[in-house]
Amino acid sequence: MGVSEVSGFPFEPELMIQAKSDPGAFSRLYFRHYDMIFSYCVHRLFNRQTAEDITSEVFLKMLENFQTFDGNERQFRNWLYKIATNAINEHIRKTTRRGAIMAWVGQWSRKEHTDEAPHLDESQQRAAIIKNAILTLKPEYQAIVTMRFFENLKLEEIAEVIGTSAGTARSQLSRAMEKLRQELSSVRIDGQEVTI
Amino acid sequence: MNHDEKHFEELLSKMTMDDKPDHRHRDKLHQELLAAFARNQWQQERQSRQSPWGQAGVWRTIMQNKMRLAAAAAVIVITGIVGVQFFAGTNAYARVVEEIRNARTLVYTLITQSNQGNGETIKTDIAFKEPGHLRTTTIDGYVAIVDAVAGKMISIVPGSGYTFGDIKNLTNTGGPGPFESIEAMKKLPDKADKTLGEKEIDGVNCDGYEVTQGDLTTLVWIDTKNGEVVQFEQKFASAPGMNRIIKNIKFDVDLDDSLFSLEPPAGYKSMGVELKSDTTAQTEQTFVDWLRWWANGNIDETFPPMVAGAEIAKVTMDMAKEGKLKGEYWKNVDPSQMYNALIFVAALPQDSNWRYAGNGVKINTPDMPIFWYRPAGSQMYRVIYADLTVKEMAEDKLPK
Repeated sequence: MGVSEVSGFPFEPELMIQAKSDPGAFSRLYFRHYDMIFSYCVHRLFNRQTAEDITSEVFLKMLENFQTFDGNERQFRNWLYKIATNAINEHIRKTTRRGAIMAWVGQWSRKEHTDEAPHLDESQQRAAIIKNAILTLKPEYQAIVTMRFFENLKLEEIAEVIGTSAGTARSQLSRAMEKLRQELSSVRIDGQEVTI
Repeated sequence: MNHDEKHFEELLSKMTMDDKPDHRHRDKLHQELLAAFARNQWQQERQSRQSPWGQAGVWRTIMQNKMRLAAAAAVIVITGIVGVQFFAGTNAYARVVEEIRNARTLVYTLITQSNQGNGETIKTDIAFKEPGHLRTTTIDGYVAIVDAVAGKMISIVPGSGYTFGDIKNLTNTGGPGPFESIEAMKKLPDKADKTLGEKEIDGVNCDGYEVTQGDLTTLVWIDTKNGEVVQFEQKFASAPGMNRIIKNIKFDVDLDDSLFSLEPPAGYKSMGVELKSDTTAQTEQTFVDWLRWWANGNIDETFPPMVAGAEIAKVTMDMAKEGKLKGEYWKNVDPSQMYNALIFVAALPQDSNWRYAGNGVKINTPDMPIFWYRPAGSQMYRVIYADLTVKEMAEDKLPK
């Protein structure tokens, strides 16, 4: 089986065809992408359980339309990201999970600035603050920030996932960064600024 | 990457979070996907074909059963795999529907009543376990175990032996497969068409619900006290007399993997055949030869009561018990001959509109069509007569 390298991701050209009819090949395809999608979900949602639920939803949704999917593995990966992005955004909108998480993170953030949470180290405090800041972004911007900084996707790849041009993706990323800068501008940990 | 982005990346590199994948979830989802994958393969092939139930008025000459993996021979019978279509729900259904959708195991008893042959009633116990394990057991003790993911099955004949089958290619036949029932159950609509009031079934007071899905009407009976499903009844508009009852239904019971083992049971011997589901190798001649063999092999010299379905196993056994089969023929039966003939039928495209009218017809009866079908890509039908000659015929000339 030949292997080609596209955007740092080794694809197997025949795998997509084999996976349509061969459970073994389908399994292989699944295992090649599970960690990636779970990672994206957990970095978007900051909650393992919900991330696992959405990951399940993504793959089951994928399977529903897999037989009619006609692309290579790179496109398949982007398709999965797109399904995941839609599922996460929908989840946030429908369940107001975002508000709940923000409240939770907010409590955590406030707590860690007091003597009540001395067990949180600097890394944990930093994580809570960054999460809080990201969660203030609208879901579409959260997706771009997560794909760019957690999943290390290139702007061209992000653009393909969200269905826009690289230029537009760049503009949206800039706006998201500006919003993050504002959110983080007044935050300090142990007297040090966190701002970007 | 600009300065802000680099700085933000540095911030992220210093933060820790619990984001490592859990292999337990990954494996569990993998199993679910494999099960759905196997079901989809059967379902897609089935959907690519026209419903055989849409031909009202010709049911009495049709034996196009939902059960596709067929039998071998009189004492070497391969129990078929049972396909079941289910129902839909309203109110009290909600929990039942939800249970079915989420069930990782299912057990139930299927009772089919056919108006074919001698009007056989077949009772089969069925156990299903994700991802794609199926075990069917007839009241006579015939067992078929299927591993759809591996594409293999074993058929165990009580007091006799076992036979292996390769069913990988059967997913390509377009025939309704063993997961038709499971898939239908998993996709139940949330509401029934109407309620039927109360009825006592096996001493249990039940609320009834009715759902019609195309040609199939399903009645669902639910215990009024505990809300558990008691029985499903299935009726086909274009197949009067063809009824199915599903009862003793349980969800998510513990089913040991040994129930689905493809290992032959201790004390049993191989029957010396391994059936292959090579659908491309079976021709019309294979089928005609088997029809001749069967007709010459029974004392009435009639054609088989059916050419598809697991019931043929039961019917064949009954004929043997009644002394209707010629011993000299069946003594040296080649199980694969019957299997291959049935595979030929099973592999016909749905739009072939095949029909069987040979039940009770004696071989060489003049001008008596017993089977017709339209080969793939052809406008003309092939009609097999009781003298086993074959003619081509336009659709409007076909027997009514």
